[in-house]
Amino acid sequence: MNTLPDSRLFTSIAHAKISNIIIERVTSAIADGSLKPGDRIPTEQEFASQLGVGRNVVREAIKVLEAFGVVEIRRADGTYVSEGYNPRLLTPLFYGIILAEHTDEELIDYRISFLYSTLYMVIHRATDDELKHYEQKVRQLCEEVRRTPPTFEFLYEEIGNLSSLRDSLCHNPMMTQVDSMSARLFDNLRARALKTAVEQNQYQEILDSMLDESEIMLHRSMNRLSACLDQRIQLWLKLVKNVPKASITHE
Amino acid sequence: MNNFTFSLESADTESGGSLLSSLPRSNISQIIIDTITDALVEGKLKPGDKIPTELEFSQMLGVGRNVVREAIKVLEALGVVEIRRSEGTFVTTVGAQNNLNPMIYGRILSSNMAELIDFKLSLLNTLLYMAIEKGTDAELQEFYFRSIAFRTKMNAPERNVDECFADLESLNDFLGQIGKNPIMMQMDKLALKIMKYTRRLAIENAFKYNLHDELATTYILDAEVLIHRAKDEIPGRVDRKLEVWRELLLS
Repeated sequence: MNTLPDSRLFTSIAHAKISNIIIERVTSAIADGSLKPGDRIPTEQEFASQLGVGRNVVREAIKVLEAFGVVEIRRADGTYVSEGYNPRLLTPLFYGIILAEHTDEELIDYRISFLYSTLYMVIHRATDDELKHYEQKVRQLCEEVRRTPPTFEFLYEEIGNLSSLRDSLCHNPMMTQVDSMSARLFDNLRARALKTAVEQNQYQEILDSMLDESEIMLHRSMNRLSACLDQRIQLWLKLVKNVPKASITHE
Repeated sequence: MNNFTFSLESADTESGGSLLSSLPRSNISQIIIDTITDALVEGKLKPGDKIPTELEFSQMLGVGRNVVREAIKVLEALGVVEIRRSEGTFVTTVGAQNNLNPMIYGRILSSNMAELIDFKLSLLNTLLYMAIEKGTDAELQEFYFRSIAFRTKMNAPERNVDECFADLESLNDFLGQIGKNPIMMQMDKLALKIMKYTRRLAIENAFKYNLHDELATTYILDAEVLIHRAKDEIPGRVDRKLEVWRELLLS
């Protein structure tokens, strides 16, 4: 507090302000429709000379807009307002979810309750063949595990693959992106719980629940969804309670 | 405090491995962003943790300081880190938020309107399911009264779009709160943000095509499912609501 602000400090405030102003101008122009998806925005140089500012501050603003998925930089061609869905558009919004403080119980509650939305979409949109194929894969896994008791690695891998296959059947790019983000958020907890389940020979219930789910999907039995999810939440809460506190990290 | 270190080796496998040295600098800054994001998702970095300084990063990765600064600037704009002068750069503790004008999502996603509607309305399954699980009788009652108030406003002779829109926003907000899950609340915030433009358009169209009572009634139907805690009826109600929204926005 007893040092005077030096000139560098002032420069950086002005710098941040200018870059925010550029971001704000571009986004308001998109919001009010004067810039449309697919339109080219001015180049770094055009911005810099029109606004009488340095190119670095313009570049910074454009970088931020690119990270937000609002513009696309096409090399040698220019910078354009994004047109239609692109994964970057949602990615910045995920940080709120990633940084939300939560307990294991809340994460389980979220991941499994969220399946209500995913499965609703899958049941509406997947083809009969897709649902049949998925059900067969789950059945195969169940049979394989019955013949040979699984290792943790095997079960972790197989269940992970089946979950992403199931989530992809909703045929909606936004839902798929949200699901894969949720799966990643859940992954560490899933690994811990599965490891314990294998050690304590409790994995059968997980497979039963997956088989139940695949049949609900196959027969498009919406009204059986909530019972299946109720049960699965209880199952995971039980599994995670059995995880010894010492073995909490998974690499 | 977390000892957060990483090398590019783990991050570069998908983006070209040994060719890394010849990658354009924009890709390096994206790799830095992705790596920090991955560490957040996996819980290796937590809110409040200090991240390496610009200098440490550039030495750790063998890249220039400019490209590191760029990555950190973007993360700051995304609301993921905060730079405290003389103390360092920290993962934000207030939860990431960006102040980007939410109306741009509807513009950019205008060619994906059908997918957007399906996505948001499918989420309603999870919101209702969670509210039934976690809501108190008083909260579910209040949702019911609020939905009736919303319909009254929608049907009033002197109705106006702004007021009805504000009511709808708070009704949506409230439903998320009843579920009490911090991750789902963030997820819902994301969905509400990308749907903001579309929601406003829905109200405008409801007045234009005389469907305002129909739209408002779907919220009362949601409230009835909640009050009776009728989990199995959720998908049926969502089907009905989806029809109304498609009629409002796609026909």
